[in-house]
Amino acid sequence: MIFGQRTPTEEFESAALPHLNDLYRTAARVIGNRSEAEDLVQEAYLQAWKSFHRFEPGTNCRAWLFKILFHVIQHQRRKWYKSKLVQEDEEMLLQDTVAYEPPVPQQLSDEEVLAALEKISVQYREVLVLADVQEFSYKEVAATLGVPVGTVMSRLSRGRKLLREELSAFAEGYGIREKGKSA
Amino acid sequence: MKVINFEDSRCRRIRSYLDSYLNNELMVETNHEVLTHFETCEACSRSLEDRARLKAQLKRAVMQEYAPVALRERIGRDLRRSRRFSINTLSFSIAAAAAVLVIAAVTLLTSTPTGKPLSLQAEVAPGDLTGKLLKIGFDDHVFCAIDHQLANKQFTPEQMSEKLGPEYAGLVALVKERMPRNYAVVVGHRCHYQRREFIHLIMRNQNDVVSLVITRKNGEAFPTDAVAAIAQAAGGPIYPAAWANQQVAGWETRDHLIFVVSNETKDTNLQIASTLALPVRDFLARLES
Repeated sequence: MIFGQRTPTEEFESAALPHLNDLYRTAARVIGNRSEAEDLVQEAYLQAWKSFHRFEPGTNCRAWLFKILFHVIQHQRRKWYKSKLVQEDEEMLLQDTVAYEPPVPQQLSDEEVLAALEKISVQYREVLVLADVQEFSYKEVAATLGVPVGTVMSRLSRGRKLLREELSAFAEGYGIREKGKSA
Repeated sequence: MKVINFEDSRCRRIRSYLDSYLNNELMVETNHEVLTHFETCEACSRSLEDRARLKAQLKRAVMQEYAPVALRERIGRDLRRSRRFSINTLSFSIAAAAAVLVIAAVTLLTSTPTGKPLSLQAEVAPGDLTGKLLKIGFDDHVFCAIDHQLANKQFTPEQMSEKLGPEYAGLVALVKERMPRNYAVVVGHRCHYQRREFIHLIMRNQNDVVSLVITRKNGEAFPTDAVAAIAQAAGGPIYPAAWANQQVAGWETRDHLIFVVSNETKDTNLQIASTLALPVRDFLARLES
């Protein structure tokens, strides 16, 4: 691999550091703790640097960094909780999603949205952030998390529904009632 | 949970597509079906608007956050630190008789810069041809063994043979025999840097990394009147240099430039170079004949 006149460190910095904000805000939302998110992002960058010789210039550096970040997060998560994530019957949940759509108030503060996001299980939260905030494709999200595309689709659908449900709690405060529900 | 029953099964199907529609993940035909449905179904259109609004709200909220400056600085420190190898002076006795002559010659060397701030950039004065040639070996060592951390790899003998090819595979045993006993040959391969191909062997012990770097000449030769040559005992002159915490010793054959680069002390690096110089010269002479 020839990088021209720039040193590998310069190549790495110019390719990887522009994505720092995206990696950090994603880690902060998925982990729910800024200090821990900083540690994990730092570790992800260190691991990325160590394996930078395997990165092919011209390919998607952002997706590559996110994959490393989630590898670090999943590894750390296993250490923290020492327990398996709750596995839900996602096919059932997908069916459920089709039928019920709680209303969402139009006027929401960022704090309210983030508070609602934080209440959702991490496996839905991470898909929401990757697909809806970072705008990764289903295929990229699947590769990042190491799950099938079908799982991404069902988790995204379920995640959006859970987020709507959390936010609908605010609806009553705004005087919004769903059609068909008694006031 | 109250479940809304959609009388229209078409609405039910369309709504099951809305999440994928929102992410632009639908097939063209399905996308068309959804768009057509929106023209006649206000409820499904509203449902889509609701989802799109929520998606936008979520994105806006999360994107408000930025990485702290301190995190950027921590990552920068990591990158700088990872480029350095610790300097640990290691004393060992060397078996080769040629070393005796080199040690004597080393005492004459007083101008090699050492103790500079750590930076793995080699600066060569204009007109310093010897320095320019030695920098070729230094650069490949830094690029490959340090920056790309090949020094942390452990190739099998079979991998080394395959990567070096039949011409150069014999170098591994030759070097292994002559390196200090606490060193292992961890990598033997061909690499490319700055449009040159290198035969590169990496030897390491617990703390130190030594590279044997060989490249075909591209019309270059060490200047015959070079005062920098410090040893004649190993079948020809050896030229030393030091940049940052790395020591370089180079010599040549008719068609090749050969370098030993390490984070060892100046004396030790020269001892290793002088031990390897003659057998490597003989090895390459067979290829050149």
